[in-house]
Amino acid sequence: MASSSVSTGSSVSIGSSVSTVRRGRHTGRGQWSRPFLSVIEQAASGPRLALGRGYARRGQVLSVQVAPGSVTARVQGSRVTPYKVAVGLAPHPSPVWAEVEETLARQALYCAALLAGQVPPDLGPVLAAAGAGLFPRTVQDLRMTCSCSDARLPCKHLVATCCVLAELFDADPFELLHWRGRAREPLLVRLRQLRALPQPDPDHRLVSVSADPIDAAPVSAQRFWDSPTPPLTLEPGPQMPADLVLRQLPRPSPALGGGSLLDWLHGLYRSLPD
Amino acid sequence: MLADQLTEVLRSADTESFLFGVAHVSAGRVHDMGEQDSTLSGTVDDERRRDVRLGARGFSCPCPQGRAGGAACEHAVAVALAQLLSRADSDLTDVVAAWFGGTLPLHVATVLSPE
Repeated sequence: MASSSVSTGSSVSIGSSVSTVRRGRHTGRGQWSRPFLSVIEQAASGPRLALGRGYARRGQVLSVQVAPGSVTARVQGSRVTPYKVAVGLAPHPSPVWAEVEETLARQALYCAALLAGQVPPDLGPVLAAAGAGLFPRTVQDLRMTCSCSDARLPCKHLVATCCVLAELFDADPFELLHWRGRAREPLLVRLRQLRALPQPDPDHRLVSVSADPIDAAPVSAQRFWDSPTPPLTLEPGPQMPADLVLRQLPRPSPALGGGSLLDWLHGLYRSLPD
Repeated sequence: MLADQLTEVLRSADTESFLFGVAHVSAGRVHDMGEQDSTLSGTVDDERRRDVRLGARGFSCPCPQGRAGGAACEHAVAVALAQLLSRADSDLTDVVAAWFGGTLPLHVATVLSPE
């Protein structure tokens, strides 16, 4: 996972789960936040930028929730009742995300990384090329609201919210994808479908592989030379570790032998002749 | 008509109410949805429980903005969105995209039209 430790002392609600975002040193490279923050920084006038950063550092952003197209937050100001803050950005509609998913499914390395919980550093340009850019280009793309009385936006409460949001994106880039319209779990479920991988079941049983794998399409010579990457199958080639397929499977249930079954299979695969 | 009813609620909301309504739905805070005659209902678990009714001629919600009447509050938005999503094969993402794109009435009508 990203090496950044996300930090503010604020509570972050992501969908229905709550995780505490603790203040500390931000060690991420900022690649999932810098393009967004620079839009905010350029738009914040007078003392709002500095004041907003101060609010974020002091933990006055009480909660942040990410939803498709909508980030909502509560920020403690000088009044008893926290201010309500929202940052809207048009999400990419389902047909765009469907194309993105099919593009990603054709790239085995991207898929493997995403399914392992890592967002590849170069995913941004891939998405932009597929018409699903990750960042607002200008402040006009954003629909910002705050219940405070500041006539000029972004106010310090919006700045504070965006600072915390930026740290969240660096710590968990899947939340950036969520804001742009595709939450992590539906994305990964779809990628597994397209790669003909089993879906993890809450009871830890292996479930049957769904039909409609992307690799089942017949490959014509023309398509082979035209497509950027030839479709890959799941069979390990001579240069890949023999047990690579096993690494993509969820843990077998205890009834099947659990982790020790996997260990035994790993040993078996590695010992098989090519 | 259902599409008009839901569209009216969603369009009357200001930006803050719409975006907070989306958050409620996304977080799973809308439940106990119902329909009786032409009144839709639902409950939103905000800091307080908010019981919402969407009627043929407007909405009701006990929150301060709801009691003031006029533009739909975030709870009315949340229930309208949840009612829409529960009836049709549509994604929250697509409703939000339609709101941003100014095509909400068309989107709601399309989603609810019998196929």
